[in-house]
Amino acid sequence: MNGMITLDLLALAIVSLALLSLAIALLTSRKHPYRNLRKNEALLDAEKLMHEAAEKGLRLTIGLGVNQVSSAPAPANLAGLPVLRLMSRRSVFNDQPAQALAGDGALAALGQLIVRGKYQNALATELFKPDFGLLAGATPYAYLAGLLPEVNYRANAGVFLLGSQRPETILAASLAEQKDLPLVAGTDDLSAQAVLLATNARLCLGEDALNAGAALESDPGAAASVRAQDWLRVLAVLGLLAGAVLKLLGVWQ
Amino acid sequence: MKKTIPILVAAAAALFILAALILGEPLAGWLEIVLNWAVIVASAALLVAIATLILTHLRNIVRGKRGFIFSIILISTFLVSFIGALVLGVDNSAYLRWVAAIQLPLETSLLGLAALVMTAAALQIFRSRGWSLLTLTFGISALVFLVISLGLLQALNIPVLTTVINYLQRLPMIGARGLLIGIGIGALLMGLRVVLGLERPWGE
Amino acid sequence: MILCPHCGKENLPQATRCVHCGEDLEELFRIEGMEDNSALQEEPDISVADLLESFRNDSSPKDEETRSADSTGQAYVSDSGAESNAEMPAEEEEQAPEWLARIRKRAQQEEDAAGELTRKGNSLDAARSEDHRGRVDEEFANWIGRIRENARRENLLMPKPAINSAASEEGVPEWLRKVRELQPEAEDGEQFAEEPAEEPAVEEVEPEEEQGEAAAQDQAQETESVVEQTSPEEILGDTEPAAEAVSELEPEPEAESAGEKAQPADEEDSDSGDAEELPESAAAPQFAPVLEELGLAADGAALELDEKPASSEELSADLLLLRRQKENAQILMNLIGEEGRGIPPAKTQRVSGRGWYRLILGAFLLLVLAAVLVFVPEAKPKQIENPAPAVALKDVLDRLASGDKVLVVLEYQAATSPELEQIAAPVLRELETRGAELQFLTTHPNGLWLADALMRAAEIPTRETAFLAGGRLGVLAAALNSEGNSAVIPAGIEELQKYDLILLLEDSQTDIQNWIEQAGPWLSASKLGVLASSQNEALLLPYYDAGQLAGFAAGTLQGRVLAQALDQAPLTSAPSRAFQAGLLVMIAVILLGILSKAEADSSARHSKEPEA
Repeated sequence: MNGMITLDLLALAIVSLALLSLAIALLTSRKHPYRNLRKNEALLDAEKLMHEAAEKGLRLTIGLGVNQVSSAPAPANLAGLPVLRLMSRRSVFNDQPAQALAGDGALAALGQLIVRGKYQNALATELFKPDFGLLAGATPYAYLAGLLPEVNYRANAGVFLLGSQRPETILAASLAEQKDLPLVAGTDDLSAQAVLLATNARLCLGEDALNAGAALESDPGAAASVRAQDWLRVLAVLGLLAGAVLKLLGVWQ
Repeated sequence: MKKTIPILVAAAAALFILAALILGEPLAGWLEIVLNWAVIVASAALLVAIATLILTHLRNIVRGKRGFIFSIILISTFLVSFIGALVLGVDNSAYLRWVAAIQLPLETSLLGLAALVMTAAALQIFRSRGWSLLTLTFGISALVFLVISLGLLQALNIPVLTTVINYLQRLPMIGARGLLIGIGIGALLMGLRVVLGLERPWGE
Repeated sequence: MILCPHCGKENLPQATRCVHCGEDLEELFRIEGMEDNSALQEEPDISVADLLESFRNDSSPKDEETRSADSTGQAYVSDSGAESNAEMPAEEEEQAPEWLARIRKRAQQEEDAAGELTRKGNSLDAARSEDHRGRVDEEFANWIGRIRENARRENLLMPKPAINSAASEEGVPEWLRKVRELQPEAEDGEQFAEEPAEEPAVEEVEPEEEQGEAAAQDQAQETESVVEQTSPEEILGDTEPAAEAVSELEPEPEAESAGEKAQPADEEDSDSGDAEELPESAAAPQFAPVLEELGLAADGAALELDEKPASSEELSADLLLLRRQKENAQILMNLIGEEGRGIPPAKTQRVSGRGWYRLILGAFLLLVLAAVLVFVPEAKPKQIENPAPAVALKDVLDRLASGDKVLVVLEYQAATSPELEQIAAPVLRELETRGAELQFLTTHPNGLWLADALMRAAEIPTRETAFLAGGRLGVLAAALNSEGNSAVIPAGIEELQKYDLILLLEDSQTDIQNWIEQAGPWLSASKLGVLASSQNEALLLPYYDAGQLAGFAAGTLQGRVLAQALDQAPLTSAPSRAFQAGLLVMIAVILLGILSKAEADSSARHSKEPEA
C-alpha cells in the first residue's frame, strides 16, 4: 500500500511537471511556435508528397495502424491523425482524394470524422464519401489484408503508415517499394521500427511519430508539446544519472 | 457550442479517470461505470465501422466497380461467419475449429511472406540507405543477434563466451528503455493536450 | 492620336468619345469655317444617295469637296463682297461728300491702306483657310480610308456563315432562317405580309418574326447611328436601284437587316458584319457591284476561314455560336458534370524487372528450409544455460502448488500461434501436472478458438475461455475490480489480485504494455509472467529489469530451454533445425548485401577514376 501511494505521488508529480512544461512552452512560443524546432525530415517529405500528389492528380493512402478490439485508441494510435487532417484539407478538390484505412473501429470513425470535417470546412460536403475513411480490418492481419490492395492501387502517389503498426506491415512497405511509391512510416512498436528500417521508408523513429503536428507546422500545441518533451527528457536523463550516482554511492540500495 | 461540447466531455472524462486512479476508493464505483461506458462506445464504434465497410462493398457490387468479386467474397464470408456464430454459438467447438482452419493458414501465409520480404529487404538495405552510422550499426547488431539466436555458441558452454553473450543480450535493453521513455513522454503530453483541448482527434 | 479638348488626353483617331472623361469628340470633326458658312448649310438638301455617289466617284472626293467648298466659299465671299460693295455705293452715292468720293477713287487706284503685312496676312489667312480646308478634307478622306481598311480587314477575319443553298433554293433566305432560329417558339396563325420584292419564302416566316421585327426596328435605329459613323459605301449601295430597294424593303428590310444586324451590331465589327450579311439578303444582287467596288468580299468569297459558325442544326435556340466556342462550352459542361466524380486514373508505368532478386531469394530460402525439414534429422537439444528472465519465470512456476490459481491470458494472433504454442504448451502441461487451477482469458476475439488449439496442443482438458472486452480499458477495469462485480469482467473471472500467477501469452508490444502499465500498478511484481514471441524480447528486458515482471521467455529457443528446465518435453513438431537454417540464410543474405554494396561502390569509384 505504501508502495502504491509512493507510485501515485510519483505519477502525480510527473504529470504536474509535464503540465507545467507544456504551459511554459505554450506561453513562451506563442508568437513563433515553430521557430528553432527540430525538423523531422520524414514528415517534411510527407508535405512535399502531398503537393506532388495534387499536381499529378494521384492519390495518397494512409494507414492509421491497429488497436485492440473494442478499445479506446491510445495516444500512439492517434499519431497519424494530424497527417490525415492536413492531407484531407489539401486533397478536397484533387482529382483523387486521400484514402485513410484503419485497423480499429474507433480509429476508422475518427478518420472519417476528420475527412468529413475538412470537406465541410471547404463547403464541399457533396464531394465527401464515407469511402474516404474506412475500416480495413478489425484484427491486425485483417488490417494488413485490407491495406495491401489499397497500396497496390494504380494511381497512388505515396503511402503513409503512421500510428501503431506491427512488424507485418513490412509487406505493405515492400509493396510500396516495388511500385516505386514513396513511403513515410512512423510507429511506436520497436519491432516494426526495426523492420521498416530495412525498407526505403522515410522513417520517424521513436516519439517523432507522435509529433506530426509540430513537424508539419499545423498545430502550435504539438510544437509546444515537442519543446516540453525535450525538457522532460533532459530531466529524465538527469534523474537517471542522479539515480545511478546515488546507487553507486550506496545511498539507494 | 458544437465544437466546445466534445472538448468538455473529453476533458471531464480524462480528469475524472485521473482523479479516480489517484484517489482510489471514493471514486472506484464511478470509475467502473465510466469504463463500462467507454467500452460500450468503443464497441459501438467498431460496429459502425464494420457497417460502413459492408455498405462500401455493397456499393462496389451494385456499381460493378473493379474488383467487386472480392467484395462479394468478403460480404458472403462475413455473413456466413456471423450467422454461424449466431446459430451455433461462439462456444461451439466445431464452429471454432472451422474458423481456425480458415484463419490460421491465411495469417500464417502472410507472416511467412513477411519473412521472405524481410530477407529480401536485408539484401537491399545497404543499397537503398547507403553507408551510414544507422545502417552499419543495424547490420552489425543484426548479425550478432542472429548468430546468438542460433544457439550454437551457447551450446559450447564456454563461461567467458556465455558471459559475453549474456552481456550482449542485455544491450538492447538500453536502447529499448530510452525509446520507451521517449514514447511514454510523448504519449503523456499528447494525453495532456487532449485533456486541455489542444488536441482534437475527432476533427473539425 | 487626337487630344481631347476637355481633358487633354490622347484618344484614338477614330474615337468619337473620349475614353478618359467621356466627353464627345465631335468638335474635333467640325470643320472650321464651315459651320459659319451658312451658304454651305443652306445648300439644297443632298440626299444620302447623292452623297454616296459623290464619294464613289473616281475623282478624289477631297478635291471635289475642296473645289466645291472653294468655289462655294469663293462664290459666297465674292457674292457677299459684291453684294456689300454694291450696296454701299448705292447708298453712299446719295450721301457721300465730294472728298469721300475722291478717297474712294484713290483707293481703287492705289493699294490697300492696310499695308503689305495686312495684305500678306489676309492672303495668308485665305491661303491658310484653303490649306486648312484642304487638310481637313484630306484628314477626312484618310479617316474614311482607314475605316474602309479596317472594315476590309475585319471582313477577312469575320467568319462567313455557311451558305445553305438548300434553304435558298426553297426560297427561305439565310438571314430569315437565322432569325427564326433565334425565336424558335412560333405563334400560330401569324404571318408576315408579303412584299412584292420579297421572295416567296417570306410566307413561311413564322409569326414570331413580328416580335423580332419590333425588336429589330429598335435595332434599326441603332444601326442608323452605326451607319452614320461608318463608311456609307460599306453599308448600302449608292445606286438609285439600291436606294429604291432600300425604300421598298423599308417595312421589313429594316427589320430584316436590323435583325441581321442585331447580332453583329453588338460587336465592334458590325459594319463588316452587315456588309457580309447583306449579300445574302433579298437585295443582295443590287449591292454586289457596290461591294465589289468597295473591295469587300461579296457573296461566295473564296475565303476559307478556319472558324465557321456551327451549322444551322447545331445552333442553340438563343445563341449563335462558333464551332470552337461550342466545343469549349461542351468541354466545360463535361468538366462541371464530372466534378466530384472519381476520374479514372491514368495507368502508372510499372517498372518491371526489379523483383527478380526477391523471387530468387524467396525460392532459395524455401528450398533450404524444405531441404532441412526433409533431410536433416531433428537434433536432441543440448543443455544450455537459461537466460536470467527465463530462470526467474521457472522459479515462479516452481513455487506454484496444487490449487493455486493461474490466469492464462491469450493475446496473440493466429499467425504466431505455432510459435507460442511451442513455448506455452510445455508450461501449461507442467502447471496441469502440478494441479494448478487454470483459467483462460482472452482480450482478442481470435483467442476463443486459439485457446482451444492451445489446449489441444498442450494435451490438457479443454476449458471455457472468457472474453474480456474493451482492450486496455477492460484490463484496467479488471485490475480495479476489487469487489468482483464489474460488468466488464466476464463471469468466472475473479479479481486479479486473487490469482497467484497471471501468465500472459503475447506477440504484440501494445498488449504487453497494456497489462504491465494498466494492471501492473495494482498487482505485485511477482504475479506477472510473460511467454512471448522472439520479436518482443528487447521490449520485455527493461520491464523485467525494473522489476515489473516476474519473468519471461521469448522465442522458441528460450521456450525449449524452459521446457527442459521444467522437465517437460518440447513439442515434437518444433522444427528447431529449420529455424536455425532460416537464421543462417538470413545471416548469409545480410553479408551478401554488405558485400554487394561494397562492390558497387568500388566499381563506381573505378569508373570515375579514368575520367579523372
